[in-house]
Amino acid sequence: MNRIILRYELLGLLRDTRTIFLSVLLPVILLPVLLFTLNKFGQRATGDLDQTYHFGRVFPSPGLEVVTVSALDPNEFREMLVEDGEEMLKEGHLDLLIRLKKDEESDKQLGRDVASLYPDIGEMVERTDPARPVVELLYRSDRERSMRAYFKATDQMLDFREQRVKQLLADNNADIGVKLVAEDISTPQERAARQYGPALSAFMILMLLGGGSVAALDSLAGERERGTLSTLFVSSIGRPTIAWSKFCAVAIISVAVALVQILNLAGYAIFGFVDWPLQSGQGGVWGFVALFLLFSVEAIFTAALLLHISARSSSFKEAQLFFFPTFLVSFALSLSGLMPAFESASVVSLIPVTGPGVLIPEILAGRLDPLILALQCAVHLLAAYGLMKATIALMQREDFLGGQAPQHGKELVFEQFSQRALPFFALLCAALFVVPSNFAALSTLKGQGLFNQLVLFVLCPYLFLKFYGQKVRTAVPVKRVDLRIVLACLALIPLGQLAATGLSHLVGPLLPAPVKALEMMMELLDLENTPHWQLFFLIGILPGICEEFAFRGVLLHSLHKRFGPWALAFVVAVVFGFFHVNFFRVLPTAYLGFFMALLTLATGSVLPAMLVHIGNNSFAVWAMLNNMDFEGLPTYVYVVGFVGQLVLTGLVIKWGRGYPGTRWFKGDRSESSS
Amino acid sequence: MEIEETQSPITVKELCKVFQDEGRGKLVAVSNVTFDCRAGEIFGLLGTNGAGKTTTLRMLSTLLKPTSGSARIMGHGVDKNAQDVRKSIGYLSTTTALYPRLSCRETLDFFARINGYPENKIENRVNHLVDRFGLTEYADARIERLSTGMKQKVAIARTVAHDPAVVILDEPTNGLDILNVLDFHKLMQELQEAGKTVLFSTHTMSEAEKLCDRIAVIHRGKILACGTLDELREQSSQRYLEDIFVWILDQHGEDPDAALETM
Amino acid sequence: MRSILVLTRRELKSAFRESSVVLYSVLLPLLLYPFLLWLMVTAMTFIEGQEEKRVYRVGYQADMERGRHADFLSRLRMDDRVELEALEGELPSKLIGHHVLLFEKEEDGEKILGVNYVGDRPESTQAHRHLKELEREFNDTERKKWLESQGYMAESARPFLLTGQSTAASGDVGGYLLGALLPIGLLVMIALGGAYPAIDTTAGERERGTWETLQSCAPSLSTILISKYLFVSLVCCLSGVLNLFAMLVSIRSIVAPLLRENESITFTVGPQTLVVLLAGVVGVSFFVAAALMLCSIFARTFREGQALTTPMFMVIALPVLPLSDPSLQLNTKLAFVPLVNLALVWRQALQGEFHLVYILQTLGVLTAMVSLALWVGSRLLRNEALMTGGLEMDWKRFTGVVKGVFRGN
Repeated sequence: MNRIILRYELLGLLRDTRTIFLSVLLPVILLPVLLFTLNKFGQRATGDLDQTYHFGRVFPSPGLEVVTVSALDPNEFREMLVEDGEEMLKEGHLDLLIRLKKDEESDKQLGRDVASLYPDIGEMVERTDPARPVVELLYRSDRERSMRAYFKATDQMLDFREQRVKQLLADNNADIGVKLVAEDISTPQERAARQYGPALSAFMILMLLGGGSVAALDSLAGERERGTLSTLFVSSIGRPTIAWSKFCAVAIISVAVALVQILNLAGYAIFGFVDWPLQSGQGGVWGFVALFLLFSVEAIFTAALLLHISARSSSFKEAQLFFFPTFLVSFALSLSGLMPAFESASVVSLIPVTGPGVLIPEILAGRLDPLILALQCAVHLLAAYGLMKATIALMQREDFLGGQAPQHGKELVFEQFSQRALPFFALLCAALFVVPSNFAALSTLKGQGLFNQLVLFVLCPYLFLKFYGQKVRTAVPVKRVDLRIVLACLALIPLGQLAATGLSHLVGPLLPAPVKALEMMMELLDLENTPHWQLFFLIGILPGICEEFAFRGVLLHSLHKRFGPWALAFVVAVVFGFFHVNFFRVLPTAYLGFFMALLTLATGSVLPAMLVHIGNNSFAVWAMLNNMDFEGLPTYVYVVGFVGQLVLTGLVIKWGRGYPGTRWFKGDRSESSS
Repeated sequence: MEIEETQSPITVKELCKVFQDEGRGKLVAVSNVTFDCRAGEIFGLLGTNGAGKTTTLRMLSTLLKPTSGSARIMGHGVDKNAQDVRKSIGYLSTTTALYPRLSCRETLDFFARINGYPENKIENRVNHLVDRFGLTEYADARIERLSTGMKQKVAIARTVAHDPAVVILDEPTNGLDILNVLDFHKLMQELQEAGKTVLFSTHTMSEAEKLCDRIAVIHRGKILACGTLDELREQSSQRYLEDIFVWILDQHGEDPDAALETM
Repeated sequence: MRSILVLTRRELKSAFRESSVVLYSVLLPLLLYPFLLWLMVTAMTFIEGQEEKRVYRVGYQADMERGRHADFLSRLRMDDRVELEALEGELPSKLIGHHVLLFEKEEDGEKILGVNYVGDRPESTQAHRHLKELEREFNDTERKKWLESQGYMAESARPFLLTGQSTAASGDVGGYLLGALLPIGLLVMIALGGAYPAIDTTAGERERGTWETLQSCAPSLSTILISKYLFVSLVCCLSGVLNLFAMLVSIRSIVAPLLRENESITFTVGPQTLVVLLAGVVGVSFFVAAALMLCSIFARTFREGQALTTPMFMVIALPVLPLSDPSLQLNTKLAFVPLVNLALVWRQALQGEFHLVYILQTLGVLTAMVSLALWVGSRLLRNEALMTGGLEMDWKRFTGVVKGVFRGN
């Protein structure tokens, strides 16, 4: 780190008064507006909860008035007698309509028993044709008031019913059942912490990313655009030193912005404008220290992240392009405190930004765990260090300052094709989510076969290739391969299955598959009613061909010049994984996809990947049809599968000719595509 | 466009421009500048950095409003008929750039169109310019992908895309290599032969010597001398323009060394 | 007019060759909602999966094993999701190592079970809820047994059944949900879609140097600015329309996980509603374009432009806050609040309500805002320094410019 550069960086930033105003002063000004608005509408919501609801009781309904009068709080519910009432409910004159029905499934004895046991409720029971009464509540789910009235009335009626039964038991000296009376022993501090914690985490990320973004994004990308970076690079100071100096400048600005916002918030808390959980005497001082530590490491991490984005961008505007999705994702992660299943003492603490989202409510509640705090600080610092190393690596590249020969002709077209591939696949993924849900026929197994496989994975990528003038045979090479490789692929089928199952076990505690989701998948397959050949075709063969066409064909080809083989296999695998929708399927699918990508890169042909994919899926179908379960096997079996997979894939890499245009290609360079 | 022989295409009379600056107060950038350019003439505005050349040219191209005085281009006043003035001129300076995401052809088409070139002749005009400026290979390439020299060629081409009667160029050969500079000189001659009036500013003495029919020397916002090269030589008894320039400054009580340092 | 069209066409051509515009105005609307959907489904599946596997650690007073609640304890022991631990002596005042604490106490002469839980810890709250469910089940079983022993039918433990039904048509519910979600999304995304083009066409052009190139051409400054304004408005409109389309197409998928199984909802937008929505998109696009350009016109570089438009962007996004209350309805007062009024008109239109008075009021307010912005813009045109290259901005200069707007010089 060079102090001179740091000083001048800070000077440059501080002279940009406009940015200082917008990053520091404006949030300070906006915060009371925000708090006021939230408060106002919070009060409004609470006010509404105190409102009186109008309900109609359908007349005649003998005995029903006993229930409505006894059950419903007269301060909250006002009754109107109506003959029909549905029209009034529709028009909004009523919030709720209550009427009486018969329980069609109960027999007459039940009706007589109810009438006998509960004389008041028994009024509702018709003497000539007794049956258990059903109190029906009609409401409008397109109106907030009506829904609230319904929920409130339901709670009160159920309470009333419970009281009546208890009364019956008491009258008969029947000492049965239990009564649970719960008490929330959380302190007001803890309750407030739950309320403020997630908001505070999100607010901090907003301030850190917003405050530091202009400085960081301009620091490399903007300077590169203006030409001042090349001036700096020809000075006596090395590039790593320049990078660290810029990082320090950005980090200082971020921390300063964050500090101003915290002090602003603290001011509101001290003067009582906001109910603040951290009070003195309850670990308050340590809590603030812990918060400041956490914010500081978050600031350091975000500074490194922003600087890395800046390093990857050729201009300030391009940096903005990368900044926005980063901002969205970071903001979403910072709301982790809202997720009930997340705990700080878990793997969540290993994820930057997510960890503090969960830890901050705990700090505010006075439950500071120094070990977890230290872990999260370490994670952020390590992540920042990793990002800075990557940034420095980028800065040391010869082409960092540009100056590459401009491309034209085929090269240019391929570059455009390559740049647009990922957005194109993102659109396909969006279509995969959205289209079937609007057309019921497309969400069946056959529908998915037709639409997903043939349209999304074959037709659309084919059109994409044609639009950019790419040859299908080059993008989706179907070259014959060595017999050894074919045999290795065949062996990979069961080994891959075992390894993927083992992986699912490993991550199961972290990414559990809910029973309902699994049931829905089985429902979709409809094993009983679907002919076996259809299952094999729709699940085994069709995806094995179509998905390989799209992913290990078109996608891999489009990106093969941008990434090295291992990184390329990883990227293609991740994209492939995301297309499998359910997150508990993403990881095992991506895992298998990674190996399939390696096979393609090793052989220069999609045929091995197709063979493995078809084999893997068909094997899974066969196992399902024969009720074979790979879940409960001993651990060593999964390890064997994994090791076997590694060994065989390694052999294929050794035997294969490689993918033209990549480092693994062993053939004549003139054969390389494009 | 036809040029009336009785009226100079460019007439500047006592043109002044005063800027208000917070730090330095009133700044007189141009003071009582008077000159005219005849039809088919290449007129050079010669001066050091900060002399007032760019400000003068920006006033003539209607980018700035004169504080006082008047200027007419093709009979239209720069303050009252700005739009007509702009239709009659092609303006190029170091601060005017091209749209990076348009191709060469699209750029020329665009500027011809918005400057009122007859629509049915635009395609031919564009093809002619592409040919003339050697842009054929890059005609459909985006501007952002061209080298500096190519960009400058396109910039000059778009300046004359609508075949204006008057061409105003502010330091047009800045950043060009020798071959492109020679090509530019050739273009100036072609424009002159076509009867266009060219007004350009430079601080390169040799360029002014080579190209200009008449030269005006401007320093600290004032025209110190104006005439043909021969007339200036006679006045100053100096042969080379640099020496003539020094002599003129000396005559007006200016420190030539200080002036030369800023060139 | 011809010049305006030529200039606007050029702006659009350049803009859609710029990846930022394509991202914010085209891709983002189409991808955002499916992404949100995926996020929501993933989050819900994750929580469901976690909760299914969670075992609740319940600490109880050891004495309870010999007391009245021994049967209930046995019932808890049988539950896969409950792990009981007997605690000797007094129970701790804080929950450490347990999700809930169970103990016997007396209330009004009756022996009851007390449950201590910590409301700010989700797992503790869930444990409490699970115990309540087990309590209900246990009581139900015991009561049924007792009733049968008395010669009554077991089902008479529930003297009456309670059912609920919504009489809202599936389309009405769809309209309600659309009305709750769509206005907010549309407003924010139109502003987002327009921000980049607004900055780029003013400050960005200045930075690149093409501003002066254009100013030296035949069209007048007002023609140039009108075409730029038209361009930004068109991009905002495009962003709005694409968002509208994406939202309508994705909404079913987004809300499906939240619906109960027996609830059917249709999301249909009638022609009248569509007209109101599209007219609103056009109106707000013109307003947003004017507002953003008025800020960015002061900037000399893209970065400055971004800094200047950020506050305006926040002001445009601020109406989002009150709109998060789905019960907020349009009234005469709110009809005068810009953007909030439009969002509420949209909401009502989606719910099938059309109040001409409010619509006209809203239109009037929007027109007034756009006219005001255009008037200010036309005044700013007279400031030479601003028009030629932006201003090195400080408060003095800025206030000078503002005064100039009102003085007309």
